[in-house]
Amino acid sequence: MVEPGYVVEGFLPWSLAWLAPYIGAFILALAYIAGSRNDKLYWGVSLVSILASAIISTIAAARVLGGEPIYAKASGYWFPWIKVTLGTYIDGLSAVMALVVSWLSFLIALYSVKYMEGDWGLHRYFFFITFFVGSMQLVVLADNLLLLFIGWEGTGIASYALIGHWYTDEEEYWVGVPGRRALGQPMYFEPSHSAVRAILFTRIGDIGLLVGTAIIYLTVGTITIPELVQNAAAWIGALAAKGILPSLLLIFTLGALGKSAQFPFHEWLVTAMTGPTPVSALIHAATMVKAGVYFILRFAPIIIVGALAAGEAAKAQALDYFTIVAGLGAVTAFMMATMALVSNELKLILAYSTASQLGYMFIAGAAAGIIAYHGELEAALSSVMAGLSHLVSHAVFKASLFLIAGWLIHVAHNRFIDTMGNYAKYMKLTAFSLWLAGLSLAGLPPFSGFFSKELVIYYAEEAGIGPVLWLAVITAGLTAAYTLRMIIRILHLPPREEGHGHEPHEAHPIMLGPYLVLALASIILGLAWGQVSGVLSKAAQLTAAIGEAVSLQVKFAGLTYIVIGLVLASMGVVGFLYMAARVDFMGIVSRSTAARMIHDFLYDRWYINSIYYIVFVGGFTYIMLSLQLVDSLIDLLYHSAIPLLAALGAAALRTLHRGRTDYYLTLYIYFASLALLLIYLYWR
Amino acid sequence: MEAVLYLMYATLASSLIVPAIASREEVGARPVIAISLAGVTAYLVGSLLLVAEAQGTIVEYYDGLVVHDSFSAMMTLSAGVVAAVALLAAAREPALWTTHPAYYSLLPMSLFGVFFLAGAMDALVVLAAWMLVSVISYVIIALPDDKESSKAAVRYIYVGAVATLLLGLWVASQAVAAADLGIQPLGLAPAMEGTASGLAASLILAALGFKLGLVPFHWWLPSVYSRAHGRAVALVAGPVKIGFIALLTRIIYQASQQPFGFETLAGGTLLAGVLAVASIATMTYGNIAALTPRNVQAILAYSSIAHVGYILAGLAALAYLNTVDPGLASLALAGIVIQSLAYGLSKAPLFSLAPEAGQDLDDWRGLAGSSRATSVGVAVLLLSLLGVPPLLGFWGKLYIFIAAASYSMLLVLIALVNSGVSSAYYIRVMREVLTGSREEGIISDELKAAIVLASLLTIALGLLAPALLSLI
Repeated sequence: MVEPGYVVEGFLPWSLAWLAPYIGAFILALAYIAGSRNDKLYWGVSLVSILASAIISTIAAARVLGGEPIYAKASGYWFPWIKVTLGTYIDGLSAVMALVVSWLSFLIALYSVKYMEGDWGLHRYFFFITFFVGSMQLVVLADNLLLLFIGWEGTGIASYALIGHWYTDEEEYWVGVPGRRALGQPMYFEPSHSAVRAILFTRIGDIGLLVGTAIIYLTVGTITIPELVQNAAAWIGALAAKGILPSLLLIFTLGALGKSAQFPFHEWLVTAMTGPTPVSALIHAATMVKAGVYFILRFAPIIIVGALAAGEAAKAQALDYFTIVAGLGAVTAFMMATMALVSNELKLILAYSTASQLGYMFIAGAAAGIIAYHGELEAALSSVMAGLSHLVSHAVFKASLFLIAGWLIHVAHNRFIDTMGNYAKYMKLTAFSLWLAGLSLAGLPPFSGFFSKELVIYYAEEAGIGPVLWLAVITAGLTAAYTLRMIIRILHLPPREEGHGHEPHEAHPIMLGPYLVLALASIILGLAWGQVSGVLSKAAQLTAAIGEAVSLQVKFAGLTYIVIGLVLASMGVVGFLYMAARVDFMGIVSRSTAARMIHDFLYDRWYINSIYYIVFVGGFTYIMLSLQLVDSLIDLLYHSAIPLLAALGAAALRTLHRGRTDYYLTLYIYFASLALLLIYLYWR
Repeated sequence: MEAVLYLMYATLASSLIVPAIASREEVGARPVIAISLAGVTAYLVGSLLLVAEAQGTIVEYYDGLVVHDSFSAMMTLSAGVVAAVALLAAAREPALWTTHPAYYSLLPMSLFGVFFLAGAMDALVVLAAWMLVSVISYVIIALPDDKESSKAAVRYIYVGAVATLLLGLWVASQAVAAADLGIQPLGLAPAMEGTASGLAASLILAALGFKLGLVPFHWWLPSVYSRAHGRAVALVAGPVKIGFIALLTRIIYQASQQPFGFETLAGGTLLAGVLAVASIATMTYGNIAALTPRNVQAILAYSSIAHVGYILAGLAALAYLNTVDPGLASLALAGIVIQSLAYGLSKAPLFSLAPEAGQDLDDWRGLAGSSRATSVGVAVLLLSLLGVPPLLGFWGKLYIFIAAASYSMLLVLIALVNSGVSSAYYIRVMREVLTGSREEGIISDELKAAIVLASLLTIALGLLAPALLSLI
């Protein structure tokens, strides 16, 4: 294990990779305050600053992958009392992440120029998009946990603001069927409501991240990532010696679970679809939700290396932690895929799919820890990079799918796929893009999605935890099924309902360009998987705590064929049922009680949302009511009981003063005698 | 050193000149007031000199019959300051009384008595000073022409007579213990042990308890304070009471310093324990009884009882700390001085206000409308009584409570709760004063000046209070 060597450099220019968008956002804020409402200024500054970030990230990636990691930091401490510096740390992992984040951001911002044209909130939109990119880059490039947390919260704020972008809550921007209820709880969400949900759900996890960071600082005395890598054995060992390693790591990971919408925090991502579609593509598919995965991929190797060095207790405790994370990932992957099967809202299908695919990435990161426990360090580190490869390929095809969805929803003037249909006839390029990106999602060879998912499943098998592996495999089949259903329904079947959308036509080149490029990228990355895996392997070699080349070539073995077979079979079945048999599923659902129960269970998201509302919102309502009761009792005490007692006491004390001299004399003499007697008795 | 005595004699002289001049019919009130003022001024100068002389040393007069230290000197001065404020407040209205020369004559004379009360080092001096000041108090209460005053005075005299009897018994007990009717140092005579010391302690507590309004010897106080004329009460509750507080403090101080008497029986804490119990009873009684009356003078009367309770807490701390921690004991002494001064500075003008503004709380409503400066001044004085920083009353309570904390946290806790309870009625009065408006001004300019002066002193001394510590 060789740590990648690095030379500490000046804060600039590398830190501009995240500073540039921040500067852009700052300029936009100033312009807004100054009263400028020039659309071109807003998207212009936004695009330029994001492009600057992308270019710097590219140059940095070229240098890092050339074998020279970057550690750029400001001289002196930023927060002297906790010895935190202000720095940018770019190793193999963060170089790849920054590259993906910045270029996807640029393409999506470009798409937004056309998409948001004429929107009343355009200025706010571009400010937050730019601010978001800066924050996201900061998460990826921060050299310490505090800086990472700042970026982390920045993305959260931007996400909140953009989910609620259309905060006037017109029905066309809702998520869910208006009026639909499950277990008595509404299943439709306005943008403003969704924004609050998003910030609440993720904030629960973020508190964990903050607490975890504090505990790590108290244990090891540093929160600088390179130092955490160097001292990994020490702090992992110290925590393991106290027996709190798994619980601490879980708390530390809560932020990642929340950010990446893993069960039980997945609900916010679904309703986040109230935001403008480019936001869904950028924040809720390609980048921000990947921050949690990035966090796992960043820390899994550190934990693995530290636990291996710290001894058996640490290894066993780390195993517990990784097993739980793998379980959560697998449950999320499967659960969300089943929901995607029945959904009829285009963006919801994609959102379910996103959470599901994020589950795969968590499986990969966690499988690494489990494999390491069994002593195969190289395979373990390869598993981490498998997670990264799925992250990259997913970012590309899912961004493309969302951007396409944005256009299709615009065309249909409706978010439900029921009103879409036969679009293949009207927009060849869009249909072509949808097929490419969709097949990549379905995991069909030779698309990039196939290779990366295959790697994850391979390492899930290596980890040897049966339920996780089988959930991952089944999910692969389900993914193919819902993806194909979606494509067929939109492109090749007539609409189920009459819509009142526009005459279907191809998108404006500025919108078409980005998703076509990304769709093509998803097949090109797959065709060139040899080179891609080489780059990722090189990145692994240059990543802190990994430091060695890993193999990311898919080994075609028994399981691989099973998965390919499953994917093909499920696509075949779906194709047959929809195209040849023309089965009327909604008819079945409306006729059969059993079918309707299954459909509703999946459509209403396993009732988890309703249960949350009943337990938490309802529970808090009860707590609030009981607090109100306590409050009114206190009120009664203060405003009625105490004054009454005081009045009675005061009156009682004053009744003794009746204004009679003889009475006073008697009392005085009586008490003087009593005092004399008492003291006399005592002193005797 | 002699100068102090001469100035005190000048004070006495002024009070004797007043009746002589006033007996001539063509003389108005003005010369009388001027002479009285001259007497008070002489007293103030004298007590200032006394404070300067008593720094770090003990000043003896009359072969040690009267002894002043820095504490008693400061108490002497405090009584003078409060009396000056009361005189300023009384510069017009009492002049209309048929008895007004007596008022202006007795005011300096009571100060003369306070000089001896505070400095007494002998039981017989105590008796003499007591008689002088007590009789002055009775007369002052009886002075105003109204019937209520006469009734209150009779009440006061009757109970006072019994208290004087008890004091006489105490003097006798001191003499018996020493087998000598000669000069006996204060406190408890060296030969006095066990039963006798307990007897002596209860006698002096009952006697001084009467003067101060210590529960359960307070019965007369609410009646006299709330029914007598406010200006008369201002003197009795102000300078005179400060003198008695000084006397009680000296007796406690001397008693707790002796390695016998109380201490042989209860390790030095029994006296403190008795005082603490009396303190709790007194402050709680005063604060609770003050909560609901609508008569402002009654509120002020009960709050006077409560304030004696706080001072008793300081005395309890003093009794405990005297042999344990002299440094903290002197903090308790400082607390007693500041608390007494703050109390007098607030009470004298407020009691004086009652006859002019009216006794009912409703009468006080809207003082702000008639005079903004007066109403703000009244608010400051009330807040000082409540103990709001940085006013003088805050520091008195603070020092007393700090010292008492090393004796008993429970006592401090109860005192704090009591302070909190007291906010209810102080703020009630303050609200009446500051809200609403009155059409015409009914308050004399002299009283306004006294209120403003007292509140300015309360603020200024409050800001300087930490510096005052070194003087005590």
